Amino acid sequence: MKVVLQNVTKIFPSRNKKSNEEVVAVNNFDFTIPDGKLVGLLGPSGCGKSTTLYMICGLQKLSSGKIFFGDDDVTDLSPENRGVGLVFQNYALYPHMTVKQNIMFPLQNLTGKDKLTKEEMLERTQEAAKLVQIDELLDRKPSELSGGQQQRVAIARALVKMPRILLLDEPLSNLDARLRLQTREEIRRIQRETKITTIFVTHDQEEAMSISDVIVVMKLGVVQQIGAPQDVYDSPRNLFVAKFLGTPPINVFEGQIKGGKVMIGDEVVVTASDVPDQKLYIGIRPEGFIVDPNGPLTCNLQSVEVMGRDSSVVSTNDASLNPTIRSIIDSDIKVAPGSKTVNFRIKPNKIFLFNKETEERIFCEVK
Amino acid sequence: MVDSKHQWKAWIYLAPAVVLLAVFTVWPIINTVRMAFLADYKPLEAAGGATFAFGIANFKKAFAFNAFLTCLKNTILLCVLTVPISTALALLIAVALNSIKPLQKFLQTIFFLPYVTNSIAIGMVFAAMFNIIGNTTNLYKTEYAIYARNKEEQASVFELSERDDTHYSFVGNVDDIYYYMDLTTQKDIDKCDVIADYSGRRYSGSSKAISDSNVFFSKNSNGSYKLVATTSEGIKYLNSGKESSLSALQLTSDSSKAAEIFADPVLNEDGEEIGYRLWFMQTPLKGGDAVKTYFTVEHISSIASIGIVNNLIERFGGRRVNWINASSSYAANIFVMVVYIVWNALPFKILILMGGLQSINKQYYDAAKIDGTSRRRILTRITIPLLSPMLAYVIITGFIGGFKEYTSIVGIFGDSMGPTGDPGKLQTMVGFIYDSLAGNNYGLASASALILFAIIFVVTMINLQVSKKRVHY
Amino acid sequence: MAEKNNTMHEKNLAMVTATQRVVQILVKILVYAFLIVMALIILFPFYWMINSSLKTLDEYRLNVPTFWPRKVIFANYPGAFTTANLGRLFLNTLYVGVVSTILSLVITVLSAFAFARLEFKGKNAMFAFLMATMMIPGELFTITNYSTVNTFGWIDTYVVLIVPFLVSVFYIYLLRQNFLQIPNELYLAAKVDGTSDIKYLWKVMVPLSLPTLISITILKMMGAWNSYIWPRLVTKDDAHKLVTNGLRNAFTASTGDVNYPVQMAAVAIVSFPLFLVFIFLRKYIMKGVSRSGIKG
Repeated sequence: MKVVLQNVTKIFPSRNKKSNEEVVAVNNFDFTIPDGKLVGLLGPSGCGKSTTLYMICGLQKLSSGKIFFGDDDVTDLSPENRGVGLVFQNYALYPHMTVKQNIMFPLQNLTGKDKLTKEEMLERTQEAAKLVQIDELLDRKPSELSGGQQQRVAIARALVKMPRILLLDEPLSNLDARLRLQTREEIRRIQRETKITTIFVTHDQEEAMSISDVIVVMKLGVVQQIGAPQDVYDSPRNLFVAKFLGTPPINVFEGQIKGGKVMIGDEVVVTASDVPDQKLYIGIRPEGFIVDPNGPLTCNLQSVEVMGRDSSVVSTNDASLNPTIRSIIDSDIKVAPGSKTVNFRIKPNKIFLFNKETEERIFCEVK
Repeated sequence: MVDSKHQWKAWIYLAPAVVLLAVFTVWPIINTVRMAFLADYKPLEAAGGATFAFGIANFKKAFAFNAFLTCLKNTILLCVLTVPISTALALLIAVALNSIKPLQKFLQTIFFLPYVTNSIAIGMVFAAMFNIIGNTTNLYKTEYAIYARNKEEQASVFELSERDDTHYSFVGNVDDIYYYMDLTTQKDIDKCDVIADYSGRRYSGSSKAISDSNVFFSKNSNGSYKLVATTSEGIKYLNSGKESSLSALQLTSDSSKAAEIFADPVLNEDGEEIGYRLWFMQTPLKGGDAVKTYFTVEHISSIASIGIVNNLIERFGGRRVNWINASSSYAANIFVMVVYIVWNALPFKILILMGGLQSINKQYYDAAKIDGTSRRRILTRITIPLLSPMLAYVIITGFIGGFKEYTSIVGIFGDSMGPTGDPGKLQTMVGFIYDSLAGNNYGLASASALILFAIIFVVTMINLQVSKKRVHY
Repeated sequence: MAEKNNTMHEKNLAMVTATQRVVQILVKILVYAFLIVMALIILFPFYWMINSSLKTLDEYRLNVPTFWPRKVIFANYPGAFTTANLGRLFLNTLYVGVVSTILSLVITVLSAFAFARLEFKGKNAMFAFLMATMMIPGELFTITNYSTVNTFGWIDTYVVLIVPFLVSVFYIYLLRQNFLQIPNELYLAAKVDGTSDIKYLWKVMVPLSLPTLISITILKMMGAWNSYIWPRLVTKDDAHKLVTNGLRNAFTASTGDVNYPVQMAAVAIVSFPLFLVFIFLRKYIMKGVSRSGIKG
């Protein structure tokens, strides 16, 4: 079931009685979530991702625009009729019911021709429990479960009624680091097995990138970029997206292009054709640095951190907007520890040029 | 914490509290238990050196006391009725209040109002509302006297020949002519069609003749009555209308047919209307001059005037009830008490339950909404279970308070604890304790107090057991 | 074909949405109607009280009652004052209320402070014991207390109305909870600065616990205003009667009928101070009452 958001806007009236400021939480979203995919809504807090999620499931009304599930206009439909499953950030498991009762609860609400017999309900519950691998915990109460187990129960409850769409609100944020890795794989696996269109919200870019088929990057209510994670990483549309994705984060420099030559400080790092002369923001991915004594970019060496598989070279440069520059290099390359400076050559596909005023990406051929 | 070198300081601070507690709390517990086991303990006599048998005589006596058993029955009955009703009602109101936003604070304030009132003072208001003033044995009884004067102004009183609740028949003789008078008191004046039925004898003469005349009372919009006569010439109003409990008048006669009927109100010295005088002209069978014949209908004893509750009942077509006055029924008394106690109990319960409702995480409702749960199911499967600790608290304290019910009964019935003529009918356990105290029988009072405490304790334990199973924390 | 199915489907969706909206509105109306009806029922006795108090006796007696007096008279109020001797009753109750509240506050503050801040042997046992006494119904105490005050010769005095109730274990508990929430560091710092306990109490703890103290004050004053059983037992003469006793007994009909409008006026006068307190201090009352509910 694909989800289509058409010019969706959400405005919250101002809470402050004195000022008239409204908050535009979601500004004219217009995109389509393809059927059967795992989609991540990614962005810093306040970017409107949770609001969008709640509008998709119906707990939040739109200020304007339409939402379609497939070909059905569900904009005015109340949540219970939309056929969505929602996993809350705090799981919202009914504390007074056992796991089995929690999962069965949605099934007991079906009426009419959808009504199920007790056996059918039990069977579906068992299936859902098996899917998330908590079938051994069915008789426990939520307070007796760990965070990760509670979350799986929440997922089972959302899935048991076979929703058209599964929504997850910050599913991993309440888990400890170890569990996060494990659980995000679980989500991936479950989605692949059930093939249900799944949308989840997160502020953690690593999370989003690792499991999503498509990520939607948002900032302050406006969609910044949509695409497959690798594509968005490899080709960010603006400085924000470039900075948001990637660990360690992209290194940003102030520079300029003159006569096709991209310069940081006085040094020409790459050439780009068909770009008029202007001041620029230049972003270089950490893995875009190649240590080369003859390389054009000179930086002041601070330290070399050994990470085993790679090494991280920490250096500084006057033109850099970040306090330090991090470069990831192959550990086979040795950097003389005593040296004051280090020279780099830049991989052309790892350097991005941004317009200084608009911060939009300047697309061009880079050598 | 500051070290215990200054322990004595702590005890100084606590000193007043400790002393007072010792005298007025600890000592009483010990003493009351002691007195309970000394048969018929009377402190005066004890001071005088008398000794009392140690044993459970007081307890035996208590249970043998008829009054005690009445009190036990009253207390338990009131408890069993008021706690479920007030809890259920409070739950409904709290849930409803919680679901609306505008007006919520305002309505919350209104619902809390009974808590700040003086339970005896407002009890008096309730008593006034349920009251009946005047004749309470037969609520519809009205006495009428009818007398007629003939042309010599000689009066003859009609005799009551038949009567039931709404119907009076009089028969009288004036100058050898028998007149029958039927009076009907119908509740709904608009429904009654009185017929003063004289099938048509016409007169010649100066007065206008009517063939059939109907006389009836018609009710004005402001509640007063007027006499109306309908004649073949249309409707005539005979009287400008005064308060009257007389509802219908039917006049039949075996011999003569009426002419036009006139009516004048009859007033006493205070100018208050006490009846009507009807008169008409008629010619005796034997012949002769037309003569004025008067009939006076007087209400000689006032009907019971009723409080607002009965008025409302009658307005909606019911029968009035003697709620709390002399010779009222036990069921009616209990009904009034239940209404009053519930009215008083609602604020506290609503407050606690609302607090509980507001502490339920909204996300549970969101999750249930997404799952398409019906409103009823949300209430029963989610709200009430999550509210169960508060409900348990409210029920337990409800029972404890219910067993100690006393002042609300004083509020309605006064110190006599019952309707006039039946004192002590509604007495409760606590009242019994105080009665024994007033009668100087401390032993009996103590024993009863211990019994009461035991009952409360047992019931509370039972409640706690039940709540263990059904309450989710 | 696919198009036809779509429109059918859309129609169904639209119908479902519309039905839901209607149901939602209906439910909202029902809820409001229910609440308003209940609110009116709750308010009715108050309204009837005022209504009756403004009528003449004759109008009160009318067979068909009027919902607002045809002739509004205020004479019932002064009448009530004199008939029930309300002036004296008010004074008595005010005196008893104020004195007992002040004394009680002092005792409660001191005791709560001791339990919250000071360490002494037997503290926990003492506190547990106090909590236990809360469970016992007051009637058990009354009997012996009556005998005790009789022995002391306190009948028909102000003392007997004040002293036995100065200590309320519940208020000590409540205040202690409040005190416990004030960081202990403040106390230690004050001690280091050489502040005496009393000064610390007065300058720091009391102001910080003001809401609770206000609730206690209000509830205690209300208690004095509404008390009936104990005063009835121990005060027989008019000089010491409290409001509630005086009220009830002023209108016992010895012959025939009670003058209801005057009685209603008296009730209104007696209820009025409480009503005022409620309007202005409602927050404190409700907080105080509900805290007794949320504990444990």
